[in-house]
Amino acid sequence: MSITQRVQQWATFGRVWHVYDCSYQNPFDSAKVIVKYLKGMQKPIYHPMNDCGDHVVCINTKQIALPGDEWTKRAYFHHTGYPSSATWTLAWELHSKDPMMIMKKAIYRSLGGNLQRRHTMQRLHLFKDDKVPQEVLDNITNQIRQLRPVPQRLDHIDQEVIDNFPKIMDYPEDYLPKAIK
Amino acid sequence: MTLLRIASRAVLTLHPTISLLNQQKANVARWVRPTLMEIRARKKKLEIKNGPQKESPRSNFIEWNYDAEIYAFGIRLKEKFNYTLLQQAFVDRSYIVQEEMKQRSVGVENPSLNLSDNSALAKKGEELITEFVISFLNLSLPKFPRDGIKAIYRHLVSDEVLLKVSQSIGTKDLILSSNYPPMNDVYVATLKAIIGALFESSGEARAYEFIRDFICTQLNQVDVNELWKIENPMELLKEICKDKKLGEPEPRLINNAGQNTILAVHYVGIYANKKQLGTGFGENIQIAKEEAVKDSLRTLFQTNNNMKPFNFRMPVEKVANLLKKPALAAASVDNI
Repeated sequence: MSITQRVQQWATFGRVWHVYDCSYQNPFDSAKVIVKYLKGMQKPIYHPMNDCGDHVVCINTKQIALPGDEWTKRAYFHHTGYPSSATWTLAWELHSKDPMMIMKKAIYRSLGGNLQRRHTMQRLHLFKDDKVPQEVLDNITNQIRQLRPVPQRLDHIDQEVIDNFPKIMDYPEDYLPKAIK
Repeated sequence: MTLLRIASRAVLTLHPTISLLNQQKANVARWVRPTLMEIRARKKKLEIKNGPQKESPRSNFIEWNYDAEIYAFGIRLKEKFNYTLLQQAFVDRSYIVQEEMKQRSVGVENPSLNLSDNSALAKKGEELITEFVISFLNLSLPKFPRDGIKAIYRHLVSDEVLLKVSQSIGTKDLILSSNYPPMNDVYVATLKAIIGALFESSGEARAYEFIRDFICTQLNQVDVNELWKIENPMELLKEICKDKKLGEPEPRLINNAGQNTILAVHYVGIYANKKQLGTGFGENIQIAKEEAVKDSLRTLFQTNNNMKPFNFRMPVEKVANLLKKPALAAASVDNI
């Protein structure tokens, strides 16, 4: 095999590192997308028995957004194996204990069950905020598009922009709202 | 047992396609195996007694008609040979020497054989191969540099390639040589002599077609870039860019993945005047750069991985016309 053919093979089976920003994203919908990259399903060489999955770095897992009343209604079951040690932890409670756990469990669940699942999970790197070690950052060369736009919060906008925002009218300086009785 | 019979009957009645009667018939006769075993046992016995047996030439057997075999050789190749010339093409110098020695040992003073060896024909054949192969390559790879053409030519006329061709057209039992099986250089010389004999018998066009069909076709599925080892590809690329006024070539990193891991991939492109000449991958930047340079050269030479396959049906007149132009012919055949 010549060097040209060898590097062609090398490039074909090279693992790309993707980054996914979890802020304001539904973890269950995001998991379906991330799993495709972890398994390498976006590649033309994909086959269930072909080890061609990529790495995915999930950042800002603390900022995930659960739909509806999931924070208070979704329960995570755990059993240590000892009698009467079953626990049901609510999503908000689990999230306050470990901000990466909901994302991890969502991805683990949507990977489906087979013997490769734990090996595939090794290629997932979770970070609760955007503080990622430099040696991990250096590997990343691609970004997975977020599923929904991140809303802009009023308290994150500069005061100057707010002041200069066009307005139809200004309240008079001596304006007082009507007192509530 | 009864249960099995019932079950098999059920299969027969339910699935007529899986009929048990439709079994394949054994087509090897019952006597073949014991006979082969007996032959093998006797051979082994002989080997134990006398040491390893030499391969016996086919001509040592009783029903061997050399003239018929020579005639059949030409017919198999669908060529019209002059019988005398073709027979001469198979005679090696060592055979004549051996026969003369035999006659002397018997007591003949002036041994004479009505045979002449194939060296003259081989020389003619070699000339034909050189001029045709070089012109064929020049026509097929118009952008490939002269040194590269020379390297491909050297591969095509190397002993390994010609030996393979010679053995494949069945010269082994027809060659008259002092050794059996013949030495490698005898095989090669015989092939050249056959081409020389074909030239003398049927003319230039048939000889060229023979070379095209049997020698040029050895390039099929071969990566011509691998046949030419470029010492310093970057220097060569710089020279070519200077000649073609493409600008100074420079490598640039297009992409990479997992650069801190053991599976790092780097993707480098070569650019000249902001135009991409070629790209290459590698596990480090150095290798990726070298590959990109090689890819750029391949693109410039039009010998990329997706190049058109060689036209082995190219009319030989086209190649012969190129040879008729004296300047081109001299340039193509010289310095080889």
